[in-house]
Amino acid sequence: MTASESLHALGVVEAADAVASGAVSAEALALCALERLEQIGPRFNAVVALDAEPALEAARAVDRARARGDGLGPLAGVPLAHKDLFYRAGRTCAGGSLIRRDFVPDETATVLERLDAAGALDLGRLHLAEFALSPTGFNAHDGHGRNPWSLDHCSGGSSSGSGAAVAARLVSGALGSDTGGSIRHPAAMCGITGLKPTHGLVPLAGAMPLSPSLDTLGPLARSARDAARLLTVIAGPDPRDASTLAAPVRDYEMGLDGDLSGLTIAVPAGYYREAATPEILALLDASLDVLKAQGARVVETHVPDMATLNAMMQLVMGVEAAALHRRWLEERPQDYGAQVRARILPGLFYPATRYAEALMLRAKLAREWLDTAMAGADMVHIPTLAVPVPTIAETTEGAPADIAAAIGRVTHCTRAVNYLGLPSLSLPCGFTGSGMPAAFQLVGRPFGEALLLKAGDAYQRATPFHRAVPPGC
Amino acid sequence: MSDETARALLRETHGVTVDAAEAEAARAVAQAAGRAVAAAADRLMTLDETPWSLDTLRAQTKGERP
Repeated sequence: MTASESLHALGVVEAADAVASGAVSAEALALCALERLEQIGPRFNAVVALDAEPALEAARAVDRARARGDGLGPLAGVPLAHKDLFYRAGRTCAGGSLIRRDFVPDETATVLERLDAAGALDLGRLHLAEFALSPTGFNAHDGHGRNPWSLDHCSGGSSSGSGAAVAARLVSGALGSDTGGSIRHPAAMCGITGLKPTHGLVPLAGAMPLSPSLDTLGPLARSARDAARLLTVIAGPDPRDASTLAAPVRDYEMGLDGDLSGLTIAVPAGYYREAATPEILALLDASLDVLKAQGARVVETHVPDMATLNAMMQLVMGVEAAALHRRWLEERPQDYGAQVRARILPGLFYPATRYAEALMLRAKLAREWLDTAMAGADMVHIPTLAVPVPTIAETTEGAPADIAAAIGRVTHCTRAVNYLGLPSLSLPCGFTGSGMPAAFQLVGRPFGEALLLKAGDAYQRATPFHRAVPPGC
Repeated sequence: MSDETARALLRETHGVTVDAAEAEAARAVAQAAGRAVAAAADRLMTLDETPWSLDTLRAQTKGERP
């Protein structure tokens, strides 16, 4: 293996360490990643556009800083790229849409500013579902995101390009957004690690909104440790986003010691596991065995009425998305994909009282879910995807009811978490008979990310799944 | 309310025009979710205990365990 062939194997922490030690230059990392994005990225429809020159200039600046003996940031020289909904002043940001195909923001997202300050390289914009509104990676304008493990299968969405690019080792890590599972779906389907943070931990300023009270931004990475490094950089209070003003500031790598003794993990019976296929259940149980071997105690709990929680989430997202899109729905109806327009329109039909009720009940229902599903434990273990990764055909062809059912199965385990505002870490846990990745999620209390990452890191110390590389990558 | 009335109301209140098929499908989704939310509100909401902000939610649910 040549030096350039091995560079893409470096994850976030490994790449940062290699640059800091002088083992590799940031420019070499950037060139390797740019080449792979250009040559391999189209296979998965992962790339919207590359920003080669600014990224290479940033890489050279890192290398010059190191040569001068300057202190380097925690992500110095790390090649990243993100779904195309993070604004950078002066750079087009289409959000996967026709309507914003030529939109050039005059502000930069807080999370990008923080990554820039930490020395990370932003190599370009990645594929996503139109306006971040599909859990499978479907985009009527740009084509479907494709899974590096099998081109016929969904990549997961809406952060489809982020998931595929990280899984295929095109970049070391990426950011995504998650309104009903859009970080966790691609993480689960592509076999990587994805963290949906507590609402209010990571600033939303400068990211295209879908449903602001449900939207969250977080990392997709090759490991829990890599996700911890990225989260440490992007989390914390931001004057541009008042919802983050109480957010804690901490180093999420600090507690990653592999020891889960004293930790209690709840496994709720019913809704989540009942939906799981036998082979997914077997993989979930095997992951619990690993966590127990690492010192965790596992207890069985149950869940409250999930149909109510899912309806709450659906209503809140529908109303907020409809409010944001109302003008375009009238002025440019032909520029929406039919699937996206159909998902937004119901939001116009709810009475305002229903929306207020859904918001007013949020704290009470979160309390109820924590009391029953978590029931005194530290976190909850549930599937991310209760069924094998669907094919693209299963989610786009056939009777509308069958398509709706297939898409509904994708969001079965994820969407209520956003309504509850809780953090969730999705971790790969093996492969189904079709050779596609499977995953579980650990759901924590508000601002419980450190504990989730600690558990995820301990799990990954004992398992090989996060190191598995798709064929031909 | 008929679909035609709903479509007229939508034009009046939101300025958005939808065809009959879209209106029927969207109303079906909205009615199903709306009924579930209304039922929960009937069961759970009280006049004096209706926090709505995420700050309130977090304050109520954080900190019991590390």
